[in-house]
Amino acid sequence: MQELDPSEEIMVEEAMLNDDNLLIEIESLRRTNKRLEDLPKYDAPPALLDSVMEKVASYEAKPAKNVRYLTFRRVTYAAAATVLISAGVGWYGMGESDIVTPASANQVPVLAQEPEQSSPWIDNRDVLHFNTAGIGASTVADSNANKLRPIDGQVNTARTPRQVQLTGSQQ
Amino acid sequence: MVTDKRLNSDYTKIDDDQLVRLFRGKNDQQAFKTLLERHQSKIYSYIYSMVGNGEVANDIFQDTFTKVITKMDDTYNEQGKWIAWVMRIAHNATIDYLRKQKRFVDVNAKDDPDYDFYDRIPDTEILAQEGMEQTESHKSLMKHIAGLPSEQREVVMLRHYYEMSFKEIADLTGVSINTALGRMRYALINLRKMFEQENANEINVTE
Repeated sequence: MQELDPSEEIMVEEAMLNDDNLLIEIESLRRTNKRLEDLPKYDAPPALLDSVMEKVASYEAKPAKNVRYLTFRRVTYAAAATVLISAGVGWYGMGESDIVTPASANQVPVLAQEPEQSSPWIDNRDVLHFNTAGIGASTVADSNANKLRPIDGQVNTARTPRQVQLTGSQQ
Repeated sequence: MVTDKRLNSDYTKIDDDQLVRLFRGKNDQQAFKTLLERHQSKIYSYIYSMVGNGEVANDIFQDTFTKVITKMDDTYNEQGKWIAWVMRIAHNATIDYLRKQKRFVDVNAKDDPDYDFYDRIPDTEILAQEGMEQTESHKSLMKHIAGLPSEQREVVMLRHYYEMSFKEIADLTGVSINTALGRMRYALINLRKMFEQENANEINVTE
C-alpha cells in the first residue's frame, strides 16, 4: 500500500469496505507477504570476500606493473635491435673489406658479373669465343686452374685472375 | 591495530557515494572493502536464493564484483546509486545463468509445462550452506520460493532482499509496473497455495 497514490489508496480502502471477499483476499495476501519477512539472509563466505579484495588490489596494481614491464621490454628490444644492427653492419663491413682490400674498390661490381662474362659464347657467325684476353694463349680451363690456390686466408690471390679474364676481348 | 579499528569505524560512517569517490579517486581499497562488507549480504542472498546452489552463487557473486571492479570507471556514472548499479549487474548475471540453465534443461525436459530447472536441484542442495543455521520454517519457505516460476521468484527476491519499489523492479526487469505487480500477486497466490497444502499435509500426518 505504500506505493499507491493517496487517491488510489482511498479507492482500495473503499472497495475493501464494500466487498468482503476483496477484504479477505487482500488480508490473506498480506499475511502471505508477511511470511516472506522470514526469508533468511546469507553472508558471502569470507574467502569469497577476500578473493574479491585481492582482485581489487591486483586490478589497481596492474597498470603500474604494465608500465614497468613495457618500459623494460622497450629497453630490451631497443638494446637487442642495436646489437643486431651493429653486428650486421660490422659483419658486412668486415666481409666487404675482405673482398675489396686487395684490389681497388671499383672492381667489386666487375667481380659480381664474372660468371656471365667468363663463360664461352657464340657470335652471329657461329664462332665460339673464350674470354682469354690478358693471359695469352691459355684456355678457359687453364685460367680456371690458375685460380686455384692453397687456402692461406688471403682472398686477394683468388681474385686477381678473374679480373684479368674480364678485362679483355678479342673482338 | 587501534588505528586500523578506528579507521574502519570511520569508514562505516561514510555514505556510499563518498566511499565510491574515495575508491575511484584515490584508489582507497579500504573504501571499497567497506562498500563490499556493507552490501555483500543482500547481494549474496539474492543470488543464492535465485540459483539455489552455493557454488554457483559464489561464482556469480565473484563475476559480479569482477565486473564492478573492471567496469566502474567505464560504465558507472555517479548520478545513480552505486548499489543499484551493482544490483543490476548481479541481477543480470543471475538471470543469464538461469536462462542458460533453462535452455540446457529444456533440451531434456519432459512434457510437463511447469517444468523448472529448480525442480531438478535436490532440496538438500538448495538449502545447504556451510556454517549456516536454518530453521524448519526457513527451509520450508525457501522450498516454496524455489517452486515459483523464475519471473515470480525474481520479483519476490528483488522486493525482499533489495527492497526495491515495483517501479524499480519494473525498470530492472524490463517490464511494466503492472506486469511486475501482477507477478508479485501471482507469486503470493502461489505461495499461499503451497502453505495451505503444507498445512493440510501436516494435519493429515498428525491425524
